[in-house]
Amino acid sequence: MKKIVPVLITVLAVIIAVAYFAMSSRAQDSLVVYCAHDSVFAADILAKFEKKTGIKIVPMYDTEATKSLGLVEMLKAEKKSPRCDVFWNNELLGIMELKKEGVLEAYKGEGYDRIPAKFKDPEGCWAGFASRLRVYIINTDKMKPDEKEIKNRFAAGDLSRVSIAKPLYGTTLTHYCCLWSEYGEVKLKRMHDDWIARKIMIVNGNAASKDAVSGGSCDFGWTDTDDYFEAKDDKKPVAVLPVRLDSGKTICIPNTVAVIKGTQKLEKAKKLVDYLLSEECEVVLANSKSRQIPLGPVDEKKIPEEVWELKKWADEGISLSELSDIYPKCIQWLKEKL
Amino acid sequence: MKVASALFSAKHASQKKSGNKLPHSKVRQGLTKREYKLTNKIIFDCLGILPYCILVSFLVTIAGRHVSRFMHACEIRGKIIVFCMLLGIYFVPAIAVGCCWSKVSYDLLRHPPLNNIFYSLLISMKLLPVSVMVLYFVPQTISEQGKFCMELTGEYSKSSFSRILFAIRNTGRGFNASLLVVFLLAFSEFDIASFLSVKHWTVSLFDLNAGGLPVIESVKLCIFPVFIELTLILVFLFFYRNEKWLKKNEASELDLKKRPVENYFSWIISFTGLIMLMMLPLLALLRNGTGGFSLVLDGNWFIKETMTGIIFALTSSLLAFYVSGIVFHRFAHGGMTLQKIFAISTLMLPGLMGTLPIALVMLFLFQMPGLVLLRDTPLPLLAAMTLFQLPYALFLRYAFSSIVQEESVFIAESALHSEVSRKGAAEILWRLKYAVKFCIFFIIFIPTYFDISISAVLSPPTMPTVFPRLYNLLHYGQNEKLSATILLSVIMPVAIFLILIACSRIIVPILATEEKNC
Amino acid sequence: MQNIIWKLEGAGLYGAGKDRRLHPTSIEIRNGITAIVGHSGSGKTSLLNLLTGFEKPDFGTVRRNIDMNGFKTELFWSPHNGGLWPHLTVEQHLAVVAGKHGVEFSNTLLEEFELSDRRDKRPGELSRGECSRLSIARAITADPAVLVFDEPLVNIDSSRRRKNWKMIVGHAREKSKSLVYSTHSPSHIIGSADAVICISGGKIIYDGSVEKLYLDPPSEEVASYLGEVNWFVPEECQVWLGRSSEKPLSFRPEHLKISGSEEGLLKIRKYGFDGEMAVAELVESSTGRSRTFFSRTDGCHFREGDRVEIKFKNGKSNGDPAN
Repeated sequence: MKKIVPVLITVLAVIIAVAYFAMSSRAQDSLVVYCAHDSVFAADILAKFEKKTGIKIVPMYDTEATKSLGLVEMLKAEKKSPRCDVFWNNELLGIMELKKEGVLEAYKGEGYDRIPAKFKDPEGCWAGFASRLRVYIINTDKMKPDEKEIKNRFAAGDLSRVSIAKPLYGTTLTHYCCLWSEYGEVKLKRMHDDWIARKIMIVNGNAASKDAVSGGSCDFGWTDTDDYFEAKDDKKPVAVLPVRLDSGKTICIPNTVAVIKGTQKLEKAKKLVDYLLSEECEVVLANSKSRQIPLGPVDEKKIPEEVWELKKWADEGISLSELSDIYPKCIQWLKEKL
Repeated sequence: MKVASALFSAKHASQKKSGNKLPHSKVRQGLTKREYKLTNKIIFDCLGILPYCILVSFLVTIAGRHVSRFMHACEIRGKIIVFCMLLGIYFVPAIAVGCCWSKVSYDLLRHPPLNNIFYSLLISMKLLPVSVMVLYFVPQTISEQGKFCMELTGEYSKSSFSRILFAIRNTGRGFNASLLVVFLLAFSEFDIASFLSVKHWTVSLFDLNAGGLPVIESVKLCIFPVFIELTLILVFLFFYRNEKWLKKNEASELDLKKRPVENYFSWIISFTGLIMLMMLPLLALLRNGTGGFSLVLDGNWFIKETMTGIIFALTSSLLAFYVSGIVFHRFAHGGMTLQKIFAISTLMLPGLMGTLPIALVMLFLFQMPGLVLLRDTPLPLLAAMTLFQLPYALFLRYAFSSIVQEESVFIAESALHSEVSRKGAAEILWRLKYAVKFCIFFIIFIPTYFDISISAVLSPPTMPTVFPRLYNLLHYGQNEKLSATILLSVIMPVAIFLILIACSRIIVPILATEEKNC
Repeated sequence: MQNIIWKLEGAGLYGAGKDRRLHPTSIEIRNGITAIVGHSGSGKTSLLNLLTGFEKPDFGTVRRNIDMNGFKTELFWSPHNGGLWPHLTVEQHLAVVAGKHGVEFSNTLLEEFELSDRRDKRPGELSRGECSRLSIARAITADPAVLVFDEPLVNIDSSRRRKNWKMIVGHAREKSKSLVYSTHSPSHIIGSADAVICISGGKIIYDGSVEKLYLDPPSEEVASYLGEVNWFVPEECQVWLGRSSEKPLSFRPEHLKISGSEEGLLKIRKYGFDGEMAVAELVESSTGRSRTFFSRTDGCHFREGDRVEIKFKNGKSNGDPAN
């Protein structure tokens, strides 16, 4: 064993080194894309782009498990020597942080132009596309999908059968930031403490909230439209209602894309950004399992009816531009609270 | 939990009285108010999960003792069946277990103690194979006859303290080693705790990294849990410091009495674990349909990412195994001194922090000038994986040392030189010597292969591994593909290991001959 | 000329800390039967461990030069704890080393060592004696050029001991194999071994022929390794033997006989028989000094106060002026 183990280690290390150099040399002209979206559909879209333009892509996908430090933190850490060229995020707050840190390159191309103003950065550092809505998912075996009843429950009723995802991450964090923006810090904190006191069920993520409701453990809960559709496709007894703030606004959270400052492949990166912000891409994502809602103008016939219905709600979305100032305070408070 | 919360509410109360000011001692230590709160949170969660981990370690070790005794006493066929069942339990990745059982926990979340008990039950089943392996291979230091003699002297019945002390000594390295390993694994567990929304310090640490946390703060937050782990390890090493690491005495005689109740218990518990942790998760995965298999195997990403994961985990396991061997043999003679204990704890420290802190520290190190050139290479990933495995490799080497008479191994090695006895000797050597090393290797390989944190943070962009992708599939509800990917990514290393075992008859003589030539 | 199969040059082993289990040793072991004898903890096992290669010397060198001469293997070892393979049955132990063509031979050995009816048992199910016999049988079955046994008969019951020893030595002689073994028992050295190595406190205190050690030992301590000896320092010779001597004299029990004599200068204080020899405590009349004598008895029994004389192998007695 004394000699064999070092020999084996050497052999394996050589294999790794050879594989690494082989793949790196192949990837030298490729675009490195950090992608927090569904790897299945993202891979499809990126493959289409590759075929169309001949530009090779090396994707790095984010995970549920590491979202706490995920790609956003890695981009911040790599600021001085970035290896990523394009960042495709599945929400908004992280990319706003990156803009603040000066990690993003401004670019206003043809894709940027087709996206409505409230879903993009005015300086062109990022733009949103293919969004999701924050919704209530309701178990129709337990209760009727009634906005008023839901509001009453949140106001004063028993919350032990209401589920929300841990608000430290993703769209639920964005949701909380929207509440902070709408109600102010003091009221939100009071509301949160009140919900906790009334035993609201905090689960691991939106998928878990969806599972808790569709499985009957909870009557209703917060989630995103893609999770709702997953339950619906599984033929669970669920219904959906948009989350509306007191102002009547919904919460529409787009995918976002940005070019990373310091990229060595700027022109290629711009092409990818334009592609992701194009109608073609939004149509593909609207027709995917997650039914992402297009934000730019699209041919109605090309997207499913249910997505078109959601688009109406998306158009009522609250402006998210203030959230970049709220986000750090909100997350700090939540870390201490939870 | 109530005691911990009482302690901390007293602290918080005093904080409130002083107008939320930090205690003077903390100000002197340079802790900000925020750091103080976060540290308190981790400490609180540690203390909260501690009783459950202790309970798990005792339950698992007691159950493991019965199963290992049963395995010693039963025929070869029974041994193989039970061993395969336990293997199945250990091999199932946490993501499969978590996906299957998280739905149960939704109903239990309203009653956190119940949820914690359910979590403890799952973890107990998950860690049973580890306990059985430790107890099976590590003999008692006092034989059954020795135990009986103690009872005859009357010393045994004199006081409960001397009974307890004798019991600790009597049950020996094996029982206490199992207690310790199971506790460490339960205490540093993350995946299933996260799925079941258990208040575990590892989950809290993960949550506290939301929105970014400086690496040094993450490391500081690990101090208390690592302190608990290290203290227990050092107590163990210190307690057995006078026992020579390499014994040349006879192994203690085994208790081979047939115990029918124990037999039934062993079969029941192994089956229960198999059902809860393998069959039901498997059924849940297969329920998503078999269409995913073609989807997964269509593109070449699966093969590439799985092989990458296997090769990295293999390499780091070999490295950890090799390094632990060097350390072990260097320290094996002359008993355990304070210097040795200090050196060993230093080596173990990084791994005991858990995968997330190691990943963060490595990321930080490889962003520094000079090292940043190596950031995209496989080196950070390999280094982090190896550091994570080192404490377990070291500890298992120690626990499994001198499990057979060295004379028996030596004679089998000598018999390799004879044409006539070479084949038989190779099989003997496999049983006596290499199977144990293989077990150690296997125990450290599995959690590394299944790990997500280190892989997700440190994999070179051109060499992603398969498990981070599983969580992406999970997040986006790609259940068909997720199920297929989990099944296939588990089958591949299992197949490789089974092939290695089957090839042992060819490999072992080569290994033994090489060793004799060294 | 006998071949040297082992040559140790300053070889030794450390024990716990820096103590020496085996001090620097320079000896040669030749073909034939060599016994290693010493008290418990003297270093016999350590020496055998060095010879077999089980342990490497901490200092010095050990050179081995075994001519296989058509045997299946150079060396096989039966250690003090048997070194058995816990998962194999008795039959399987022999089968592993015998190979296909040694089946008949291994069956014969099972018969000879009375293990035939235990062939399906594993070491955990055997008694210590059976484990020892199995270990020996396995070593013989392996058909090595050199057999190394560490106290092979220590666990074997006395009724089998003689028979088993006879088998071992007979096998070695018949097949012209070398045998190196450690033992406590003089009866397993005298008449069997060609050479003997005495070891005490980790040091070799005698290395030479058995005959010389038996008849002309260099010291009382060394002499005792081959059984009881009547040892007389020069000052005692005059008192007890009736003659002077410049160097110590030794007489083995069979070279000395106690006979009744009215004119004898010695009186019996105590007399007994321990199964192998007579042990007599005698008092010298004139000086009142006493000492113990070991002799082979011819059935005589003495009582306290009886007058006796000592007769030596050459027919003279202690009363003779020059014997």
